[in-house]
Amino acid sequence: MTKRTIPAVLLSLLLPTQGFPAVSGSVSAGGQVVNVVPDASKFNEYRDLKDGPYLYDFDVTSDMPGGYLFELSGSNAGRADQRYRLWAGRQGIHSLEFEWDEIPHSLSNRARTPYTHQGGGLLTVPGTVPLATKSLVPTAPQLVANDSLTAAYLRGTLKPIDLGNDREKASAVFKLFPAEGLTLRLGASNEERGGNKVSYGPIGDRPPRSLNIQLEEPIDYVTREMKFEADYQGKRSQTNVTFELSSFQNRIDAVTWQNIYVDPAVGTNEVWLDGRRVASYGRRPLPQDNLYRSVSVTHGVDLPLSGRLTAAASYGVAEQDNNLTPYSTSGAADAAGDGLAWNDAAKLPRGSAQAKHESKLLSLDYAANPFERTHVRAFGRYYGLSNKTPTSDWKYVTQDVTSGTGGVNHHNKRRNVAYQYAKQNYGLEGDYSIAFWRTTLGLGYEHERVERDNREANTAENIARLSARSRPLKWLSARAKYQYGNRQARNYDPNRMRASYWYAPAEAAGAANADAANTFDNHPDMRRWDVSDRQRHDVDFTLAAAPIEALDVSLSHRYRRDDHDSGVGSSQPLLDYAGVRAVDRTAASPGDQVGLLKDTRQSVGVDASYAVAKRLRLTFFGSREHSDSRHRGFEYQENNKADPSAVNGAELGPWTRANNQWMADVRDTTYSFGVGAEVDLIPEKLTLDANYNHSIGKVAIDYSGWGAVNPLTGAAYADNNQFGFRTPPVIRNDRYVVTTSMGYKVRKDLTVSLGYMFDYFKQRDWQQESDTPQSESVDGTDEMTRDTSQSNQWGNRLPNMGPYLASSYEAHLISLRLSYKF
Amino acid sequence: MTSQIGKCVGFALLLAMTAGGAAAKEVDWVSLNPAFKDAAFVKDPAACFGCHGDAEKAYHGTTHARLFKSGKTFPAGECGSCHGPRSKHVENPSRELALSPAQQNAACLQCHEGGARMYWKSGRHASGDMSCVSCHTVMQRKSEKALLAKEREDQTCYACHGEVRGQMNKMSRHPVNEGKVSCSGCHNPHGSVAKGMLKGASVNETCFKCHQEKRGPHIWVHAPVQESCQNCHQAHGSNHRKLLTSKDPFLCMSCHSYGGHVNAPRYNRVSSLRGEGCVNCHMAIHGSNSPSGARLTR
Repeated sequence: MTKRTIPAVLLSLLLPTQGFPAVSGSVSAGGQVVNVVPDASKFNEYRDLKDGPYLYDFDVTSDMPGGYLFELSGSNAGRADQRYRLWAGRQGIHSLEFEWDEIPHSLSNRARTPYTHQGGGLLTVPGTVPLATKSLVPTAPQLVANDSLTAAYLRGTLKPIDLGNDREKASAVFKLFPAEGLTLRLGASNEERGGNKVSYGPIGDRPPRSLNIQLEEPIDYVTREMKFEADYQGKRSQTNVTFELSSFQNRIDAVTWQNIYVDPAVGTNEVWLDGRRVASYGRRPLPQDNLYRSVSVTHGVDLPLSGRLTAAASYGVAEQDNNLTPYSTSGAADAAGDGLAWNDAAKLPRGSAQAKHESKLLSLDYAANPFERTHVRAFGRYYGLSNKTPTSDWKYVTQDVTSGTGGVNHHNKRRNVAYQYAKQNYGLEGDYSIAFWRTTLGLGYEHERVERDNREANTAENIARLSARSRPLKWLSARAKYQYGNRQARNYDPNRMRASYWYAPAEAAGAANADAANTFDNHPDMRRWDVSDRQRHDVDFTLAAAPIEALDVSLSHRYRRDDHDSGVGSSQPLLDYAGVRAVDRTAASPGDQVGLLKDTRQSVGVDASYAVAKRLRLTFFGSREHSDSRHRGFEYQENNKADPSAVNGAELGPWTRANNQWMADVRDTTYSFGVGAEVDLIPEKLTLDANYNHSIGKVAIDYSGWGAVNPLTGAAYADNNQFGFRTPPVIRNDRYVVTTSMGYKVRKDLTVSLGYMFDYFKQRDWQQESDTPQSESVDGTDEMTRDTSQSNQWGNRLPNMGPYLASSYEAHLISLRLSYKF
Repeated sequence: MTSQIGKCVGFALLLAMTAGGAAAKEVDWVSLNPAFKDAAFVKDPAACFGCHGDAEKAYHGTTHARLFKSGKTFPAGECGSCHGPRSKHVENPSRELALSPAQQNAACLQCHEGGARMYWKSGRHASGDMSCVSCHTVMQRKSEKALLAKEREDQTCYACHGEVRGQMNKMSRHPVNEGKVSCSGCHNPHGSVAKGMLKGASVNETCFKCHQEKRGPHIWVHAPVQESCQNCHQAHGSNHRKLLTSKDPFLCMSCHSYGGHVNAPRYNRVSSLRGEGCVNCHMAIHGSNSPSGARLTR
């Protein structure tokens, strides 16, 4: 549908209203000039501000005899962010509401790619890179020479591509009041989402041999939804029954991209110098069609003592049963391998996903005032997500490249496990009001228990709350809340991932191969923070004051500290090793917890509004939000878990060596403030609105330990060392926006407004740069970056769509609009 | 599935039977404020607007005014339905019958206690002494919908949740400032069955209302994703791409320490210091439906 179609249709709807008895409304139209330097998509990320004439907004209301009403409104007609709403009906009897809404999401207007989307998810390139050395394990000089050829290829083939995806949603709701107290609602919607987004196409096996490239992922979604709701409101109770259905469809099942290093003329794969087969195309499934249905019932009933009991139950089911793609696009058939080509769907344990989740919710909530000045609440809640997806034994074909034999190693025999969980919350809260300063004191307790299948731990948390709110003066009120939570992870099992392998222990007898199923997967000192022990302190304070009628001020402060210290100690994870390899059963971990250790978040804010005079009103807001999180990591040789002492002398050493730890303190701070003024320069005639908003975001990472220094010598690593990483530059996001509008009321019903906006955004992020101590562009081509170590690893190369895809900008906008009321 | 739906429908019918007579709730005005004793409903809007004429024009644009215009009749009359029996006030205008927030709530809930407001009495806003008029301007239509106190819904919420306004100014955010996503798209300010007054039964069910493509279900599950989107994303805004809670690859490394390239920011076999970090290869981070998706690289 073109951007102009809908405004035209709505205009035709408006025409009959000319004869309606009471038509009122407004229309605001005009034009604007926009200058964005450089022209960056970030400016119009979720909007469509362009040069030209504008129908900014309009609304028409027609009140008709008998309570019939017709309302039509819209904004940004003909633009990519246009929206319309139509409401017609008889108030309190029936109504029909229709809405059309478009949401643009611009991701980049400066990306470049060699790919052309041929439709249906197929991305092709014009020709391929004439590699000098076709090997997955080349020497460093060979690969560096290949890099230059790749950069030259990209320079010759790159073309601009707009990245972004837009939503167009049409929805309608019919509302009927068939009887006193009964309301029926039937809603339906259709949302189309089209465009693309940034994604990646790795072809290759493990990271050293992975041929990765940044590319567009096409988007062509449609979501159709239906919702039926029945609401019954009685004298003492209310009931709501809701049924929802949501059908998501992706018109593109998979993205298939051409390997820029392999000529498709060779067939599905090409055998490179090392004997490995490299696929001509990569393929992966895109978000799958799915169907979700749910039914819920909520009932609230008034009870004695101003009591209220609310009960809810719901059941939902999400299903997707899309046909599966084969393991790989590669058609290599090798008698020494599994005997079938990996692009043969017959190799799969099942042909379709058969994936299904069920969710169940039961909730009871009781609130009452059993005694004067006393309010109590008791609640219990159960939410369970059951994973009904069948488990199968799969072969993780290492990303479209097979080994020389075409076979799959034992550690690539993987089993999908059906993760599921059930969460229970129950608690009791009480408030008591005292006359002193009109104060209310509160006390609460809550218990949360989460039982998980196929995760490291179940957790149980006890939460205590204290609260107070008071109004010591008529114009002054304060609230404070403190919450303490103590979460315990019961029987944390670091070996939980073993369930996702299905090879026999004897298959792992080879000397150098990982034995993940029988040793450990995560480092034994790692505690995943979402299922670890946690102590939480949460303090919340707000002060609101209106010392004079013209002034409102509020102050707020929030502090939350999570401490994930789980009492980790040294452990010997190989003591009970069940495999057949030689193991060092005495090997012990250092015993320092790995993972997220602490996370502190703090915010302070102030909000003020001051009517200086009848003709002047000032507003101000300011906030500072800060988070400080501490991470500990541990680098070690993954292929020597069972015999760590074999790598004692290596930088990439054993998992037992404490010197292999690193620490990172991530400090994330945002300052946001704004001032505004509304002035009646000439009463009832000339007004001025001016606003200034400024936001500064900063992310600083203090990094130390492994990577910053050599764990064996303690000496600092050079920038081009393959492991070298030091504290990176601070990330900054600065944005400030000035908006002013001067309105002159020509007549009672006509206003002319002149507006000006200055919008500035600047982003500095080392991860978006082509050239940093760790990353460099090849031969000046930003779209071809590699690790500064210039080693022989394919995986540290990244042909990409460019740095700073969304980019910084400085924009000026001048608008002139006429607003007419009728 | 059929039996589950059957149970739910049965439960619904059972609950419906306890509903009592079908009518708006009656307000016991005297118990709310003893000063209402012996007062009668005025039932003459003209008498009220005789003194409160400044409110009349704005009131006529509201849903309430239109409801009465449609012919709906209430025993208490047009003004009295919400303001109570005020014959004594007509005789002796004073602030004696002014309503406290709790009393105002009782007036509103006589008609508005069903539907999305079912959890009002046990919700955080009610227990925090908020009243209906904290957010709604009943006598004037300032917003397109719901008679909000300010023209825009986000501005109404920011009046108390100023920290969210700051978060919505961050580099990565939902299109709330553009009016394309509203606070009530995710939250039910009148209370809900979920924490944070979320509209869905869980965090994920709330997010999936717009992000249906993330719903899966997937063959290969990323467990923390399935449990809560908030494990990795901050819905109100972030200084990191895609609303992430922390800088990648540090976000990923806060849970993953397998050995090899996963464990350190730099490990020259991978390109994680450029682009989108670990997601450069593990782009199916929300779950995979590929037979070769065990490591979420497909």
